[in-house]
Amino acid sequence: MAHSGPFRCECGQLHGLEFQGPSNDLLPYIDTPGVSALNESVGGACRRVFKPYDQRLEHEGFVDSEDDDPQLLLHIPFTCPVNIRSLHLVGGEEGATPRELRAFVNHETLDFSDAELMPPVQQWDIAPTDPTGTLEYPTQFTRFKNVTRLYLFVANNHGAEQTRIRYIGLKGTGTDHKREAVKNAVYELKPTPETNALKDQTSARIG
Amino acid sequence: RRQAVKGRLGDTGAQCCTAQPHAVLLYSMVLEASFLVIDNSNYMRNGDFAPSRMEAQLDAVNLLSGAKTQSNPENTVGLLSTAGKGIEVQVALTTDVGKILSLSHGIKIGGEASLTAGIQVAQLSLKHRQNKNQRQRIIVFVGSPVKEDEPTLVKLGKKLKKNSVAMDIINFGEEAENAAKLEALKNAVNSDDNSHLVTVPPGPHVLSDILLSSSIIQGEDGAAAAAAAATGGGGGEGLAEFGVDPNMDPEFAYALRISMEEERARQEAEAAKSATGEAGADG
Repeated sequence: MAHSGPFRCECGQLHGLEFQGPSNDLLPYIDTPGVSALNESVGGACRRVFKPYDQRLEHEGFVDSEDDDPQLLLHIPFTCPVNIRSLHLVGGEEGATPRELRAFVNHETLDFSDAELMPPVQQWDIAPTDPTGTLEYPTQFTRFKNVTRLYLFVANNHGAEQTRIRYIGLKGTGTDHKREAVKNAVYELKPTPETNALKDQTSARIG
Repeated sequence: RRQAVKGRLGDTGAQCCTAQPHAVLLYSMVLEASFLVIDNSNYMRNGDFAPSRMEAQLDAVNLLSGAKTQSNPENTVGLLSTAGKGIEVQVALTTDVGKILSLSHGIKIGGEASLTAGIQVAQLSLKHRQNKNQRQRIIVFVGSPVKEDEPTLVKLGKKLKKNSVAMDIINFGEEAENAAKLEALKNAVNSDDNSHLVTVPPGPHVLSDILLSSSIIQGEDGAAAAAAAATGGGGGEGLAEFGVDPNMDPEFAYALRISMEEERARQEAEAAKSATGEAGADG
């Protein structure tokens, strides 16, 4: 079982900072290699924005939008369905922080025209400065249940030509439900005595 | 980089087929949906590309659709024409190259080409592709003067880049007149060298041959896509390495290709490991 819960888990350690009750850092559930973004200036930079909460202020690892275009569309897949409670964001300096952030849940794919036309599941107005990244943007929790894919659309920023995001943190709970193929299965056309383990009990009941 | 790929089967002495002039060398395997945008305006009646610009274009369509589907069997290709009575999608995205070949010969010549409208329809068709894991690419043939001005083209190019659509442009026929505009368009779309502009110089040329050696088929580092299957009118005679005809037995050819790539990757990993091991031992 995964290291979960505030009590001592199987590995023998107490897991302190990660678990604060109903809202845990969802970083372990984010499928980081599958994170992608549209309109980022450096391909693949979006993955570095997902880091542990205590590293959120570190200066390497940020994503910029293209020159003279503040919009950005981030695609975040999860390894299992999660329930998202809140969002943390550390943006860039001097107006390069996002202003309106819109979330779309569980779409197979989105591009900018879809993101602009469709009503978002939720929209947040991000503060112009939050240098310590402690502002928490809560979600309307009922709409963010069983999320397998999250799209975050940065519609505009606070006046700069580019948008920069240094850190995105998602808090909530994961479900650990996985869709996996059945691993150990015996397929048979008709039951045979070798594979039928219950044969003794069954005959006892019938007889 | 033209490597003769020797996989596990290379060790058993299987013969490489060298009869074809353009032997298959490396497969690129990028999963991609490509939309071909062709020019069917009146300029295509011109005979400067034998037998006519239209025929040369269709031959190139043949080549490209074969190359794309050979390089990855899940790739899809579509076709639309930009002139005539209006933008018309001739073939929706499909893995079936035969459909493209049979329908492309029914395209009527006439009217004037609307380049931006054609590109926009192609972009929309790519957006609604079935397999969302495929990358998006538009391959445009420009053989008549471009009506639109450069700022319009640049704006369109930026929109394509923003939505992660790559573009290859083939400038033939009126290449001097269109050179600046198409160069600007390619620079606007280009992101990390994923887009190319091929300008066909004046003079008698076979369009397909020029494309064969260009970066559209070759890719950025010279890795050739399966050119052999595309030539010869639909790929009936294309032969891959090991003498296995990919059209007769595509799954076998595919399996061979995968095993070779794995072997090559394994050898490269071992070489890298032994190189760092030596460096560590020396240091």
